[in-house]
Amino acid sequence: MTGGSPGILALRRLVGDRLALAAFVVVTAITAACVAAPWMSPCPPDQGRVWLGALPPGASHPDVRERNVLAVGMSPVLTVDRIEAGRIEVAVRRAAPPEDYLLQLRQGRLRIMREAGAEQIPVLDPAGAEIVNHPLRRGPLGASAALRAGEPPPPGLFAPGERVLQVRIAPPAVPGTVAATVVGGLVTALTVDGRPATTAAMAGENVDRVLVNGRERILVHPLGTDLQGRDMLARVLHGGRISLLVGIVATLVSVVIGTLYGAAAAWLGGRADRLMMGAVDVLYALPFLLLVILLLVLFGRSLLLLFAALGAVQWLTQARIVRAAVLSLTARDFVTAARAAGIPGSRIVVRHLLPNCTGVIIAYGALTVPMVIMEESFLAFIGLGVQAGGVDSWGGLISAGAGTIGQADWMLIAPAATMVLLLTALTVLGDRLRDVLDPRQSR
Amino acid sequence: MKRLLQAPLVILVLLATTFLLVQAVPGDPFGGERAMDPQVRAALVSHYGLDRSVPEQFLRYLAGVATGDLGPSIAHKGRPVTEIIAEHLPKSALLGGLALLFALSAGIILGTIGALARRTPLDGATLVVAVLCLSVPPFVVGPILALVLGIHWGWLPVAGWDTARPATFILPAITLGLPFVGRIARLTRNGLHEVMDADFIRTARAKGAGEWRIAIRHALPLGLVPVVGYLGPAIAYLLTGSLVVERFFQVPGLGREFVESATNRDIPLILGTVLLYGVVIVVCNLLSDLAHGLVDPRVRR
Amino acid sequence: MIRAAVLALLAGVLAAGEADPDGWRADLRPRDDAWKAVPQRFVFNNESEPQSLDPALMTGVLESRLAMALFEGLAMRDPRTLEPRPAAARRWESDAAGLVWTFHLRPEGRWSDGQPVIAQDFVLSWRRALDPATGSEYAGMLYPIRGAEAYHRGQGPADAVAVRAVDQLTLRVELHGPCPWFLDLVTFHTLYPVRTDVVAAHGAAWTRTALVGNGPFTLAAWEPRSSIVLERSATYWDRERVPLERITARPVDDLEAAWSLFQAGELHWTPAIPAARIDDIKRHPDFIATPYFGTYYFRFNCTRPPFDDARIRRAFVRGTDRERVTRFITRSGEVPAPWFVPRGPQARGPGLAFDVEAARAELAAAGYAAPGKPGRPLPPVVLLYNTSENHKAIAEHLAQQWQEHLGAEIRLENAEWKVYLDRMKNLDYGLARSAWIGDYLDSNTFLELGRTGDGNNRTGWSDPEYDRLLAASQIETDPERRRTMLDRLERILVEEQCPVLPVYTYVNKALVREEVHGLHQNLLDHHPWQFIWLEP
Repeated sequence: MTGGSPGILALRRLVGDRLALAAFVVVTAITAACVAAPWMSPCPPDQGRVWLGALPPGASHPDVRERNVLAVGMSPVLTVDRIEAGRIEVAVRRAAPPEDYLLQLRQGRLRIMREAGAEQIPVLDPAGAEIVNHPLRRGPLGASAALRAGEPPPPGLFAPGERVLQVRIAPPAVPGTVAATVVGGLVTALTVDGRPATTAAMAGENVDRVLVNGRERILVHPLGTDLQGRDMLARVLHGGRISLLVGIVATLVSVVIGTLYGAAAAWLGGRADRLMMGAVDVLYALPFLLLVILLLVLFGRSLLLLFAALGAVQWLTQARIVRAAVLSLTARDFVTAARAAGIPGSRIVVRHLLPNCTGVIIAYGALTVPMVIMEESFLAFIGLGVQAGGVDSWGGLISAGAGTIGQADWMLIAPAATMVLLLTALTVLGDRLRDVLDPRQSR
Repeated sequence: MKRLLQAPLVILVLLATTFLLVQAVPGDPFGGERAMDPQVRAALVSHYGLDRSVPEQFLRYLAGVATGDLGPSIAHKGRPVTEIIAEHLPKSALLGGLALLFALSAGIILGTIGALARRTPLDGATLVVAVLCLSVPPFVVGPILALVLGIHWGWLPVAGWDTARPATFILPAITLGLPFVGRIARLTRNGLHEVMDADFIRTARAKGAGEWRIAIRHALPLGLVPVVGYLGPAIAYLLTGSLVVERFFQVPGLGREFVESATNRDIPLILGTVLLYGVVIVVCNLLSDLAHGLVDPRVRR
Repeated sequence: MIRAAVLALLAGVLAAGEADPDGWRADLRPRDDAWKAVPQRFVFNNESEPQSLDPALMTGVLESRLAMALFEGLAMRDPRTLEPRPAAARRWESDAAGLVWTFHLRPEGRWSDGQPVIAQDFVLSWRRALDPATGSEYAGMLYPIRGAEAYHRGQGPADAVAVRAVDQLTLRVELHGPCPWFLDLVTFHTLYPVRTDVVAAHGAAWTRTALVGNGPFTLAAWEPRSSIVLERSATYWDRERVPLERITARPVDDLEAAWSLFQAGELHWTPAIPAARIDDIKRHPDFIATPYFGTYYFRFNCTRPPFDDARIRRAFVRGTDRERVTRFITRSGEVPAPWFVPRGPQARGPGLAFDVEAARAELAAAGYAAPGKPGRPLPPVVLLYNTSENHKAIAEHLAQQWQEHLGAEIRLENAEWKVYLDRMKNLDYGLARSAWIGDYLDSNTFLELGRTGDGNNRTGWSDPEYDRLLAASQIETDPERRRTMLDRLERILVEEQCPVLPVYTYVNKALVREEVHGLHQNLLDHHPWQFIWLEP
């Protein structure tokens, strides 16, 4: 082999490994995106537009809020951005909320249910009724006479084999325009349908179009939205910040504690070893959930605490593995030789044994990051996960998404794919690192 | 042998720690959303002996344990804890056993392939597969398997646990075992990896033995040492830590009792399950150490 | 004239149920024999493992579902109207003041071991429920009976409880005051009879090893967390007309699993629906939703600023757009409710409507600034809720509303169930997500929550006028006067003092297979098993 320090050599081998390189790129890219999240997505992760519901990836809509107010003398409450000056035009629809009905064919008879109020309806006038949420038969209901509950449905109302229709009767909407002039961040003039007005309030779902200085304001959701109309991209990136932080910090905690503890136990041996490992057994068997609940209650729901709790559990396995590795090394010749040479024990452990265990430590450490993130996601699944200011960790997003499989798949796929990708890349990277760092591998 | 003698002490410390933990956690084991009449509550507290001092409670509990009585569960309105454990443990054991079988066979095969195909794309592929197994949470795997295999294709039952229908075991066992496939595969590969460079393997190689033959005959027993070390915690986890799988597939196992006892503050059941969990861990670790010594002569001293 | 008198007399006799106490049952039964061609084996999701099958000890809906099959009270509810109807008693009468009630048992009533059901069984069962040592959480249901409360609190003897067996088949109950909903209570599971001799012989394990009941079904098998199998009783007095031969209750506590099992055709009925899938499930032809006798609301902590000021509470009530919650978040027909006592589908009650300007005016009156205006801002408020996707979504959305409408900074705190209960009890919150499901069909079960120091009040709110009026309403026998009082009480609760912020009336969501007949939807989600059958 040519010259260079072992570190450079290792790095060179790592760079030469395509899989490792790919993993490195993935880890860096995801981490960078999460870190930069606040500057990357225009949507805050915790602000919902509930009327949107779960929109598929790529969907867009006018950039408005839940409740929009334009009032003379006040700043416009409308889009995400602050509007300093210019002209605002909003195309609105004014209409009463639509009435939704379910028509069910049960035991050969018709059943009519009003969704808002969940009550049984005896008679439904089909005028203006449209079938919604039906993949094949969207459009007018197509019944002429009034539908009566408890009677067989008019022929043709249901297709063969079909037993339910979701129907909406939407009152006619009156289109209108709200226009405002903004100077210095305040509305100075306002018209509603061309007539001067002092205030106009618009619900988000009634806004069709927003023009600011002639430019249409549109929000695009590249990864779609969740059930409450929150941008998934923003949620995934912000969630990643939490999950990454949990993973990294808790792993560091567990590796440090576990390695020192395991090595000490193995080296001290005898009664001390048994005592120390006995303590590990005790901690293993403690009900982790109870511990987490207690910690969360005692110290509040702080991020730091969850790290501590997760790290405090993960180091146990690390300790056992390091101990086993050190034990298997202590019997080796070079250790016996070092002992015979009178080198102090702590020095042997630190200078000879631990470096020889690096592979094991890194391999297990690399497995610990995904384990911690998974552990956190389990806590999130049972509702004790990390939440900071309305933002959920990946675990929280995934557990919410898992409940919508088959309905809003993107809510699961976006966070799950990101997390799995990152964890896979991290582990691959750790694995390759171990290969090149292990002194016994460099031949 | 000394570890064997030490085991009861470990259990005792474990119980004492849990006992203190339970006292510290807020939340009333009695009643729910509705306010309880103080009279009724007092009667219940005294019925379950919770009005005594903590040390007295603990000693009484230990006395009960010594005679095989783990007390009555509070949330199950007085049903003996031993009965609850006896009811659910076999199901958990079966589920855990099947999951372990699946994890071991799939994991070792995957790991061996990875070790033999070292530094080839195949190694990378096994690595990625193993890591995928590890990285997908069970609450994602479970619903997907149930949706695809259970509802769309109708091959397997979606939930339930019925000894008359062994097909109900398959999905939960796979979901539970999957992360362990990944972990065991990694440990196997890394273990083999190290061993394959050992002198005695080089000797075997020099004698002209085939790579596969070497791996299986010579390297695997030693290469599996890390796996054996991992089995203790794995078994303990499989036996009681399978809340998500048990819940999603409605397996009447101990995992849910374990977690629900904690959320219900059902003190006797918490202690009972912790006791069992502790015994399992201590025993598994002992066995794992023993096996460790058997397969790895270096540990034998 | 005479004819009219005779008719009136006849009507009176009929009303007392002498002519045919069971005539009401006819409409609830299969019209023809088509059902006989189908195996009558009903499988349903009972949502979780029951904590107990002892009617005196049980507290939850899912336990009471099973109790309704295994036991029978003196009266039962008509599943269509929820009126109390004759069951173990074939008729009853009360004196003019409504203080003394006499129940006449069916001579043909039998326990599942063949023994006759006698009045003494009720006497002993009710005493057992009241015995403090039994630890019955719902013993309070018996408090209207004279001497019951004293005995339960350890201040009186058991035989002072005014329940007497006049003879084998006649039970006399004396109340300490009029109780307009007493018959409602009689249908409740705490007042079901048990065989105290069996309980004494087998101890706490009697429901598992030796369950003897007087209901239409008996316990055939109980595999914890797997299934409970009930079979038609061979001794029940009306066994000839009970169509179902077997009921299997599966304790599926995971909503996703329940939905999967229903889709896979393994359940006839599942009353639990995963909230996130409601849009999909609504399109399922077997979906049913009906109003429920429950209110989703928030409690204000009235002992701590800012909610110690009724104006701030009213500001929050007025600043809540409930319709957006039901229309966009819960999405299954919940009724936006500014009132506290749930009502039927079309009925409306009192309460403050959503009005941002009025809300801000209340804030200003209390000395706080509206959003965007100079002045003292509201201090941050802790909103406590227990772990659940649905509660989380609602809390997050309302926090956003209050931020926009009132400029309030809301800190969401999600707590694990027991911690949540503890914090609510100790008034360690600002706003707390709450729910109340009525125990019986009377406003009292809701309005009692406002009483000073009531265990379920948990807001720290106290109003002597409210307490006085509530006590008066509880003994008022004139229905019209009582209605006026109840209305006044509710107005104090939701318009004036506002210790609570009601959001919506619950709906019962369920999936019921088409072949299931007789599962009548009602406000209490009450489904007597003897009227259910399968028929394709």
